[in-house]
Amino acid sequence: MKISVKGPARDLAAFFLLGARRRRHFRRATSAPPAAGAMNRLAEKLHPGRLELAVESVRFETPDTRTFRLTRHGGGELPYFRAGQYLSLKPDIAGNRITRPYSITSLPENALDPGFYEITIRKRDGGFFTGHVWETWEAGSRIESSGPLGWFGYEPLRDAKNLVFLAGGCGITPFKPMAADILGSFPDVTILLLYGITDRGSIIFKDDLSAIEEAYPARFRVVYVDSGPAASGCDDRRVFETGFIDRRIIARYVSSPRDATFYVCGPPAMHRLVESEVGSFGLAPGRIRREAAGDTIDVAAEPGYPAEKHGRQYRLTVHSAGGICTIPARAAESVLQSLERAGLAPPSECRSGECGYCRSKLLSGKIYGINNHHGRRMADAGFGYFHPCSSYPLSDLEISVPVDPFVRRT
Amino acid sequence: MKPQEQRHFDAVIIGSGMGGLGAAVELAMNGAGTLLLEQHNLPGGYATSFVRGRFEFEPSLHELGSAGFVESEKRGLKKYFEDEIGADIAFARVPEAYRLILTEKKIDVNVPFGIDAFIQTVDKQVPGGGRHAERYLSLCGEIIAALEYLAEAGSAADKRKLLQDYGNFLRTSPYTMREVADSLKIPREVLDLLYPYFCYIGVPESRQSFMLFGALLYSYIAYGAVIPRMRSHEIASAMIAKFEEHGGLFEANTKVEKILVRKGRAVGVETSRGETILCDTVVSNAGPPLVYGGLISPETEVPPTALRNLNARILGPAGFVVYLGLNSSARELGLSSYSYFISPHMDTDVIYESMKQFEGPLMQASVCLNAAIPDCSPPGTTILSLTTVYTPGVWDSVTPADYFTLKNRLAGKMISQFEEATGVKLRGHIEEIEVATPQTFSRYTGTYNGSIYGWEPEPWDSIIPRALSEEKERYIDRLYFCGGYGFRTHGFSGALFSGRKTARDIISGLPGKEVTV
Repeated sequence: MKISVKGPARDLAAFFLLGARRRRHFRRATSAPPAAGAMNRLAEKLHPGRLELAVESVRFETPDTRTFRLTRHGGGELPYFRAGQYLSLKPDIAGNRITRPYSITSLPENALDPGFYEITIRKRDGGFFTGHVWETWEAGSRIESSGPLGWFGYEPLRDAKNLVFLAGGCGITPFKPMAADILGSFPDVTILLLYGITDRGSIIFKDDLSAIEEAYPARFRVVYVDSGPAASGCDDRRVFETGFIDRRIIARYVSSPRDATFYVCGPPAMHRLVESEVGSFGLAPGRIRREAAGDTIDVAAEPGYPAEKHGRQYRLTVHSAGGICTIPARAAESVLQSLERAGLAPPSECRSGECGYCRSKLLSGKIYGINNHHGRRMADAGFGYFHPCSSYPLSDLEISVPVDPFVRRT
Repeated sequence: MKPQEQRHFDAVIIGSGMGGLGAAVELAMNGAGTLLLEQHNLPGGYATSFVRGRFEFEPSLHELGSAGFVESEKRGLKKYFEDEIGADIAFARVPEAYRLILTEKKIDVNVPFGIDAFIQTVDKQVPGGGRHAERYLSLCGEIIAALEYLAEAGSAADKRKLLQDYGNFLRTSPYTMREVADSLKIPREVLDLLYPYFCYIGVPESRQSFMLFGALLYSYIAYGAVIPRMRSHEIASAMIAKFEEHGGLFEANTKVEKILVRKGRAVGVETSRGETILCDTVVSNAGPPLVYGGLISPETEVPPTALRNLNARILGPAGFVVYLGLNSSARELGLSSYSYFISPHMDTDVIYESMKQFEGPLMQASVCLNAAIPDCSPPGTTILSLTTVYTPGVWDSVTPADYFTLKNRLAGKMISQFEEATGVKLRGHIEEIEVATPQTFSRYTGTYNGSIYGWEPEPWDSIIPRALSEEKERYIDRLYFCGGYGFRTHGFSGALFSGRKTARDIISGLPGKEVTV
């Protein structure tokens, strides 16, 4: 079969003239340099790798909790975000560069106008980071941070119209902006917040939450669940229950749990409790959304952790930035913590396994991975990669760790 | 760790997308001291994956064509991975070519792989259309044969042999899909069944190089397709492992901010971490708009001809993908096919115009991964991704404050289109959802304006003209390009093989080095 499009001779001529046709196209074109890509600019605006922030002001929420208002160093708008997202702060404390994820407690629109984020921090007894914050953060302090990160938040295509927020202690932080933002944007959504507290003096955002209740009386309700000795009842129009957030209390306020989406943020112990309590309602898996809890404090409490390893000390041989060094590691601390303690400034963001930003290579040795290495990619298991933030050494290790892109080569 | 000295490499590769990886493995296997730099924390560019809840999603790859089901007929990338570099990648077979649903035309047909089966399906759908499909595919087969001859012969290709054995290739290559279809007098109803893969290139039949489309169509229909079992992150990981095994050095989280050029010759790069690295050759997987639009240092070293070359092209489309993790099995949902090509009709010029508006894109190419890899997600769940494309520029006016609501609204629209076309209910089953926009693609790969392809391949800018002018169009000495903007055009195979060819060109120019294959 001989095929011809415009006559055999013309076709062949056209073939051999393709190069000339090409050059003609080039000759006709201008030599203006390409404009910066609008999508590349939008990506930089929405998701900058790093932000240079400064503390604008500090206010007390409770005796041990402070809210820090942060603006861009030098001024200007900050990246817009989805309520529920966090910042991964990158402080350098006495030569140790660490990271700490904190939920943004201000509203998304405030990032653009007038241009601030707020984060709310509760001081932990003996806390390495919070101690540093209490001692050094004041108006004018400079803070390095990631852009807004994380996937905790309301998604109308996925979630129910009835939302139940389960907060434990300072786990209230993502819920304040989420409540205001969701209620303001989605008129068909109702929210119940069950807020676990240890005493009535420890309530964070008491007035803010009341103000949101007043603005949306039919769609937003807060119930404080006090695990302290106080009696239940009402006080100053606030509703109190005593005990922990369990199935009994949930059932009292949620008539049809299977028609709701639950969001959980709190300490690991609360996650474990809520998991079994909410689990008893038989919800579809996606109907429980969990905020990554940050560092696991007590790895020995994790299922399947070999208890006999807990007090051990190991050696990590670390390949990074073209060099090799050996550092000590505690079995009870994540590999990431050991790297930070040694001053190696490894990259990390979420500190709970899910984001994978600390992904490193395990060259030899054994590790325990929280939640069976939740967040790790399938192929990574085969090729020997792991997430140091949620992995604990079970032997001496040899690992290869990538550089942090924002730490200059020395 | 002590301060480091100035580093020097035979080659520095900018970007570890498929092109960069293809070049990196080839260079390292041939003993060149090679540094592969990647701005992201993962290698692969579009060859990657991401995890949400219980699901690990495939971000970009629909299928690798030219697979070859029978061991002895192994072809394409599968052959490259298994026989050429010995990379350990588990592939699953894609079960059928596509389920085509043209809603306005009331067409809903499962189109199989295999030339004969394909022709029979066309004939059943359009009585008498089978012989048209047969002619068309037979011509496409000749295109593949000619390309294979040219690839093998290289510069030794014989003009007389071309004229004698591959005349149809020569006579159709200068033309568009429309020009060739018109001359063959293929009925419109048959073209509707032949054209759906147009969406893998994104250029309408009035401008799309027939030769490239024909090669693509034939390589899928005749040789079938595969998909890596552990997402395309498995491909990237396996290639990095090979690269490192052969002595290559891979550094993630390191962005190249400058390509240093002295008197018309590339001499090194400067990175985001403040390091200057010298090298004999720079290979850029970053495309010409990024390289000539800001990377070349000093700027005065950008040749005006390079800019004219760049401005003469049209940038290919930008991606928009809705990734769904569904809480029911594919069977329970009624998802029986792998690729769903859904559009009101198959008028590619109208579809192309629709890609220029937010609400516009008429066509979606969607994949139910479980149809090829039943255990790609936990038992009782399904991974479905819905893909469409925009011409670059549509999203330029989007502001950060609009961004999240806009992408959510458009995702909802694509879900509705899928539900209406297939009758499958997705809402109420969504356990995880993620939406990638042109911004997302730029964010993770650095690609210019969210383009997931490269230049639109019109006939004058298709494989042959690109390959023949590659050396002439190397405007800066020792600066090579690879990837989707390269001579093989875009797609995983095209990008990777352009990288391999670039590496071979570099190696053959090195003193005392012989190319080993």
